[in-house]
Amino acid sequence: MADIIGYILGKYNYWMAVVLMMIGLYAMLAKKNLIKKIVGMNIFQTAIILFYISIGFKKGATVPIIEHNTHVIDVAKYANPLPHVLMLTAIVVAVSTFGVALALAVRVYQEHGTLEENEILSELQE
Amino acid sequence: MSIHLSVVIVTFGLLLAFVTYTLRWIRISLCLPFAITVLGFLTSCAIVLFTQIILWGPFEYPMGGWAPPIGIAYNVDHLNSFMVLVVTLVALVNIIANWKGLQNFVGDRIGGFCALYILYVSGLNGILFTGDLFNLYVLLEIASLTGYALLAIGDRRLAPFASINYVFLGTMGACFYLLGIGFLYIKTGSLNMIDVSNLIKQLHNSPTIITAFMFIIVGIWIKMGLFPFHIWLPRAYTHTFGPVSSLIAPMGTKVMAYAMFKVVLTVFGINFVFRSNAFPHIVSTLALSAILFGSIFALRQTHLKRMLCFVVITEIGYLVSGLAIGNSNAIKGSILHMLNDVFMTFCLFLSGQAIIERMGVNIDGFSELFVKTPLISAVFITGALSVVGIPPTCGFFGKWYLLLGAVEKGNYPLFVTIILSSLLNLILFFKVIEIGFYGGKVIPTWRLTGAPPWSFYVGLCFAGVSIILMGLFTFHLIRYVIEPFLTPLGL
Repeated sequence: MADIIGYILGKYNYWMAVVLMMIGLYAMLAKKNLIKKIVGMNIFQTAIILFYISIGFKKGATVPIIEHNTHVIDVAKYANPLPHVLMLTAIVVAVSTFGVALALAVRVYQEHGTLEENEILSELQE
Repeated sequence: MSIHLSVVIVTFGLLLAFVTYTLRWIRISLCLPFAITVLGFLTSCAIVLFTQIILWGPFEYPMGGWAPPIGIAYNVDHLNSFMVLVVTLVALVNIIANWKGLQNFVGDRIGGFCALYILYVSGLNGILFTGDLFNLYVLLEIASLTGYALLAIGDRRLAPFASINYVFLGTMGACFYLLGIGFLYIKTGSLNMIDVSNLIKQLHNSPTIITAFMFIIVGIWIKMGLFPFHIWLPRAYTHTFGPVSSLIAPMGTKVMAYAMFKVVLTVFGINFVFRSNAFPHIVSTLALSAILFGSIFALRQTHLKRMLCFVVITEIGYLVSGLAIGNSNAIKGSILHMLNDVFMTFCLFLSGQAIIERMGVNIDGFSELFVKTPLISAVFITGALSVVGIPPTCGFFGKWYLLLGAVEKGNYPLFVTIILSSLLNLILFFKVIEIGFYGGKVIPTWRLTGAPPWSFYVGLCFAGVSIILMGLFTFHLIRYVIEPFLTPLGL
């Protein structure tokens, strides 16, 4: 039992990412409202961003800014900056996806007068 | 030899797209000619680059002068430089062919349309060139986001709704891909494709690597529209504006197929992928169901464009079936089919759109098709014959290699399925031909739209002739484009 608790707590960052991801996926698949789906999509993307951020972390490490005139660099002392830099780009991508999706939702609302997917589908079938 | 051309094609495309948009503040009528000039420039760069690759062999471009494992690299080889040539050329021909239609339909928004169009093409070019896994994700999203915006143009009631559904699935696919890269990065600490492929040689049994592979491949399959992840495809491609569908339908799925081949063959390698039967079995099942499902559902459609979308789904099945069989001939066949399919799909969607503009969307109303539009229907039939796989056209050769590979490997279910689906496609297009010659049940509603402009005929002739040429030069393609890509990988 202690093993399992240790296993879960020791990797809690991954578990949180998985939980967030599932919340996002649930919202995308199960919700009928387009805005809720878009928010779910954003939660899904954010979960992956958090996952990446957490893998750059090291215990007792500091910001990856190297002092002047340091020749020997102890890697363990600095957090890994690369995943964070990657996520800057991924955040931009997430924001633009959010923007495009909202713009499309506006168009859908203008045409159909509703954002409920089942209402739009039943209207299209007529 | 100038290695900078590879990066010029991508970055100039991205940059000049915005210049195209700003031109609308000077004069709106400048946008379209400028966009054509930009695409012409990109195409000529691609031609020069491809010639250089043929003469002097592949190279690696270190972005910003940073050597590859640390910096981002562009790996330019025979196959992807040819793909870039195909993509830019087809995009150029498509915009020239639809010049008048764009001006009429898009009107004042032409600046934005042209910018999106060039951004989409540049995104695809970047996907083809890049040798960095994360860079591929970013360029994939550039291509996807512009693709969503382009696909929302068209039928005002249906297109935005179809496009938003594509946004959900497409984003999910891209996120799975990103997550897979995260797993790979945790284990290897690298993002460069070649570096990663060297590092994971010792890690073949690591569950992290296997999970990473599954996430990446499923993400790419969602983007490709492989059965059963195809749900977004027919809706998104059917209701969109004609020139957009003849741009995105030929390229989007094929460039993703290239990304799949690159990830499976270059990054993970055949030793990893084919070391057990699990992967070939799964892919075999998916390819088989995609081919059968696509052909059967295409038969049920009466809406011409929707029918063509299901033909695209069938073709995606062919592209994947090379990996299901997994020997040299089959993978050659799949890659050849990927190149040919750009032209086949372009031909069908371009001529199909022209037919729809004149005769409506319903196939049953195509009576006297051949009398009224002889050239357009001749090109449509050329494309159709190529999809069926009649020898002088290019569609035959890809299938031929696939069948050879299937027999060598003894994968008879796939062998039978490919032949069966060719027959089903024959029935499918024969239906159109029959109605075109002998008349259908519905009285035709001929719309007088006037003769298409000369530029449209240029595009149409290009589409028809390219199919025949790709067929005639198959052995050159295999020898100079596909084999140099496969030989270093041990195939």
